[in-house]
Amino acid sequence: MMRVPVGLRRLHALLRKEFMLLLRDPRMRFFVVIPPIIQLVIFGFAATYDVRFAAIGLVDHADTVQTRDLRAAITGTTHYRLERYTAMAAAEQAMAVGEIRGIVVFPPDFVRQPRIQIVVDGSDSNSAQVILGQLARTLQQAAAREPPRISLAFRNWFNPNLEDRWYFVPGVMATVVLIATVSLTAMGVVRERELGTLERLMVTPLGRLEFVAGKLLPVAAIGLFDVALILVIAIFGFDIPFRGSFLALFVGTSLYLLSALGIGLLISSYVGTQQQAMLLVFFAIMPLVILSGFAFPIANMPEPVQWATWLNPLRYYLVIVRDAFLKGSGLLDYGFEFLMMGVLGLVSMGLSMLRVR
Amino acid sequence: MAEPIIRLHEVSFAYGDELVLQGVSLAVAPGEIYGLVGADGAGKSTLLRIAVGQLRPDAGEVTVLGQSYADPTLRARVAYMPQGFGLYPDLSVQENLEFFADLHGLSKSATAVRIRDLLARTGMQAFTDRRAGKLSGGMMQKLALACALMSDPRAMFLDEPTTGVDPVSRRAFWQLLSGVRAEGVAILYATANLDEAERCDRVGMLQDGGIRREGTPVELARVEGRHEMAVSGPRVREALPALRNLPGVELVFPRGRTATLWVTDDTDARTLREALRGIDTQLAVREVYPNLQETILRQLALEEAARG
Repeated sequence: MMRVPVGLRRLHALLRKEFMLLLRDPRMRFFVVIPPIIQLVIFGFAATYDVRFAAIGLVDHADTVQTRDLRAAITGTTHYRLERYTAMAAAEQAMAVGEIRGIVVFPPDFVRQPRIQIVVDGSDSNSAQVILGQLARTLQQAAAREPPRISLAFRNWFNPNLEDRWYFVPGVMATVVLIATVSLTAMGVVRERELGTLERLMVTPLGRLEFVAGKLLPVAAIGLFDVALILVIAIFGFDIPFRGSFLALFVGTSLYLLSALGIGLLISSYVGTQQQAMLLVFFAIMPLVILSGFAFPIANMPEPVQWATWLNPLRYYLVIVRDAFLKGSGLLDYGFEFLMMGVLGLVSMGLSMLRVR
Repeated sequence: MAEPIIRLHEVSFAYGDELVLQGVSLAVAPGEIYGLVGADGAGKSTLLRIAVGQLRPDAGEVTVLGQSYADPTLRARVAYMPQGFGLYPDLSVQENLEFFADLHGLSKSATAVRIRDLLARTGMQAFTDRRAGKLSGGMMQKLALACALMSDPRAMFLDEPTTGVDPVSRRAFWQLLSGVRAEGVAILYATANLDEAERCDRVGMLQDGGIRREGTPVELARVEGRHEMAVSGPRVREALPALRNLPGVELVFPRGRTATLWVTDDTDARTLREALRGIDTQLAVREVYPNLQETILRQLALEEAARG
């Protein structure tokens, strides 16, 4: 019978222990499954810039065939609900009290001089921009059908209807994995320290590398489980297309996990209690998410901040995961992202290995 | 003394600017329990962590079984019980034992034999499926000791293992430890309890960063040039001023109807009895076997009084 090397047996013992503790703790089981689903639901349904059935005031001084056609074009979308006003002052009053979010004005001389005025409620700048863009687009498309015909061709690649959830849900995959793996790693190591087991383990034949592997591999497995869970819900629950390569996603996820586990391990080496670990995880995760392009484009950030984002593994993983869903890119398209995540992972892991005692 | 298994030589250590240990040397022979006694914060845990290779001393040398911790195989032959439980509360007694057996590379059959033996020695056969976190304080410490013994160590380092344990469980723990000592294991036992120190074969008093006194509990309890007498009687309190002025009496410690006297070595019971006849004929005198705890506490009180 083949003899299993003693180092592997020790690693096996550690992994068995970790999984037993993990599966026995109801809080841990909850932590692994429920937060990803909650985040998916929030970002899939609630967190959206899309405007649906927004109340828009209509002041049609011309009331011609053309303006009626344009009005029909507006009401023909699911974006708006038109409220008609006879005077501009009444519409302005309605917008001031929040009853409507924009006003479309057709002037009395519209036939002679076809101009349309759009007024939007700028107190909510995000919605204002979206409403303005969508209204302008709808009216332009409708106007193009009127003589003289102007041909305007709009096409959105990869996300034809500009669905926010197509953009957000893959991002949730990246943030959930980051939060879960960084916290579980930091808390797991610190818990060993709090229990006094770490001190005890270090006076056994268990090597430092074996200990770290024993702590990190179960967390990596949880990270992969969360990715699979979100992938299934995204594809079958939210109908988000997955056009890319599973292999590219797997390789990207593995390198991303290396960085996330390294960050978690590094945090654990600086704190003494689980409360301190949670606080430090929170302070680390916030800037990582904000400076990743998850919600705000990196190109819009000040230049020094853009440089800082180069040290953020989430930035690279977001590219891979969004492309994997929407663009259909393959393994060879992500050489740079793989390299950066690999380097960041090795550096954070190396630093934390030096500090873990 | 047999060749020591644990040897610390001129060990010094500082946390930043704070010097914790300065030139500490001690040796523990096979089958010996060495009690490292000191107040909280005296540096006992630090010294133990240095002794198990978890902290590197700023100066000095640590060898166990003639090896330094640079040799990774040494860790297979030592056992360490840090302060606190040091085991997994959510694993059962059996699972904790199996885990430590796996870490030490024991085969399945060897593990089964070893666990059966340790459970029998600790009297925990009926608790194998119980979660460690649900055990009583005394049982927890027995389990911690059993896990430490899993590797059949030659040297053990125990850091205040009976803190918070009731006296009955503490006695049971010490019975177990005596069995381990009988197997020839060298044990370095840190404690703040002087009554536990009296159970050790030798004791080192750690104070101000160094071993200030070292010897057997009997040797340490005996104060050079002095011995103890107990004077008792219904009116001993009234007699205290006169007792203090008796020739050969250096210190008087009253307690209830008894007063303990530290007397010079040339003052024996007969001399004292004769002297007492002039004070109170009902006072009785007897020689007292010195008690380490009392002696140390009195010496500390005297030193403090001398410092003003």
